[in-house]
Amino acid sequence: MSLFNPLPVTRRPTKQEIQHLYHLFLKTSKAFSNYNFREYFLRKAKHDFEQRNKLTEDKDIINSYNQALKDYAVLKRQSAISQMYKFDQNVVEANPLFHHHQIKDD
Amino acid sequence: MQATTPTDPRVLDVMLNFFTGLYGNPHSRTHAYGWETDIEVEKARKHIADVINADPKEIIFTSGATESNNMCIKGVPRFYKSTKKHIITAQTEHKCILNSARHLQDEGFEVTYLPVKPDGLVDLELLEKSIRKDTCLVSIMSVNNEIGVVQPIEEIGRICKKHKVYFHSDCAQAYGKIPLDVNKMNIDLMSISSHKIYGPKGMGAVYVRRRPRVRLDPIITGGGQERGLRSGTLAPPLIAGFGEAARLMMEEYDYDSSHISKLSNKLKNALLSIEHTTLNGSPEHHYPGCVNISFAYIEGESLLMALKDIALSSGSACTSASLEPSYVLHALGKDDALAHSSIRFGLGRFTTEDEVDYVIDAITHRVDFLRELSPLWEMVKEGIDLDTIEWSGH
Repeated sequence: MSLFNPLPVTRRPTKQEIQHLYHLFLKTSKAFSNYNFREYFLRKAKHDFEQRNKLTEDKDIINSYNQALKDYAVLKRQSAISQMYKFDQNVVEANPLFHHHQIKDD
Repeated sequence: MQATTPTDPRVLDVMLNFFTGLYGNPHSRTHAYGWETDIEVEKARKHIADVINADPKEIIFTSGATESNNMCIKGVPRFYKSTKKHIITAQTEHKCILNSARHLQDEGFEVTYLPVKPDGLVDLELLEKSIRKDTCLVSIMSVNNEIGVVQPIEEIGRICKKHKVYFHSDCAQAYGKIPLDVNKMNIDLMSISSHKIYGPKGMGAVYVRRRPRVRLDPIITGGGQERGLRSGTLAPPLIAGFGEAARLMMEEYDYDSSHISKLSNKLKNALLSIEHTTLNGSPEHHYPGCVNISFAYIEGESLLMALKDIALSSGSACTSASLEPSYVLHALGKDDALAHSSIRFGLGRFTTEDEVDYVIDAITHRVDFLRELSPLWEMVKEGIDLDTIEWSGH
C-alpha cells in the first residue's frame, strides 16, 4: 500500500485507496481510550463505508472520499487527545460477558 | 439522553481552535482577530437555526435552557404586562419553567398549570378553554425530560395562533432529536440546550420570532449584544461547539435515530416482559431515547444500586438531591409507591448495544432478588389485592 495521502483528490480514488482509508478509520477509532467513543466511531466507520460502497457516480465518490479524509483528520487528533486523558473503565467494557456486539473485523 | 450527554469528540475538535488560536472578541469590529471569531460565531448561529428552520437572526445565545426558559417565561409577560396578566403552562414542565411561573405569580401575574392526561399529554380542549382575553403566553415543552412524552406541538401552535397568544416551547430534550419547524408549528419562542445534543455545558439558545416580532423584557441588560435581549460578551468556544453539535445532529439524524430506536425497542421489550412493569407515558407519542418504567413492589433507589456504574436516574437529575418521588409521575396520576419504583433510562448516540444488554441483565436479576425479599410481593403472589388491605397506622 502506498503512503496515505491526506490531500484532497480530484480523480476517482481506487478501491484499494478507499479500503486503506477504511482500515485507517478502524485503527484510529480503536485507539480511543473512551469505550463509548471507540464503539461509536467503529460502528460509524463501518456504516459510512458501506454507504460509500453503494455510490456509483465519479463525482459522488470523489466528494465522499474527500469528506472522509477531513473526518479522518479530526478522528486522528481526537483519538490522540483521548489517550492523554484516561478515566475509569466503563462497567460494560470491564465485563467480557457483555461484549457481544463489538465490531471485531479489522 | 435527558440528564446530559458526553461532548462529541468532533465538537471538541472545533472548540479547541478557539482555546488555542482563535481568541478574538467577536464584538470587536476593528481588527482581524475579532472578525475571524465573529465569522465562526455566525456560522454556528446558522447551524443552530437550520435545525428548526429558523433565520439565524432569530437565535439568541444564552447560558443554557434554564436561562432561556427564565427569559421567555418572565420576559414576555413583563413586556406585555400593561394589557395581559395571564400565562398557561403544564404541570409536567421542567422545574425552571414552573419556578419561573411561580415567580411571576409573586409579581401579580396569574398562571394556569394545566393537568395532563394519564398518558402525559396535554388536553388540547382544556388548553383552548383555558386561554383568556388577557393570556399572553402558553408554554408547553416538546419532549418531557422524565418520561419522553412528545406533546402535540403543531396542534398547540395552531390553537395559540388562532387566539393570538404567544407560544413558547422548552425544546431542550427535543431539539435535533425529533423534527421541529418553528414556522410549520407556529412556535414563537423556543429554548434550546447545547449539552443535550453532545455539545458543551453552560451553553444554550433561545429562538425569538422576528416576523411578527415577539417582544420581551431582557433579564440581563448591558452592552446590547444579541439584539439587546441578552447582553454580555459571547463565548466563542462554546458557541462554535454548540454550532458543530447542531450541525452533527442534522447530519447524523437518520443514523442516530435508527440506532436509538433499535436500542430503545430492545430495552422496552425486555423490561416490560418482566411481570408487573409498566411504561410511563404515552407509548405512541414517545421519544425513544427516554424510557421510563415502573417496577411495582420495588424501590427505585434500591434497583439503581445494582446499576450504580451506569448513568440512570429515578426522577430527574435536576432533582436527584431529594428522594421525593417525581412530580411528573404524580401529574400522570401515579401514586407515591409507583412513582418511587420508577426508573428512567436515557439512550443516545454513544450508548452501545452491550450496555443495553448489561442493563437488561442487571435489572432482571435485581428485580427478582428484591421481590423475593419483599413481603408485599409474597402477598401479590398469593393473589391478595394490596389496595384492599387496611394498614395499621404508625
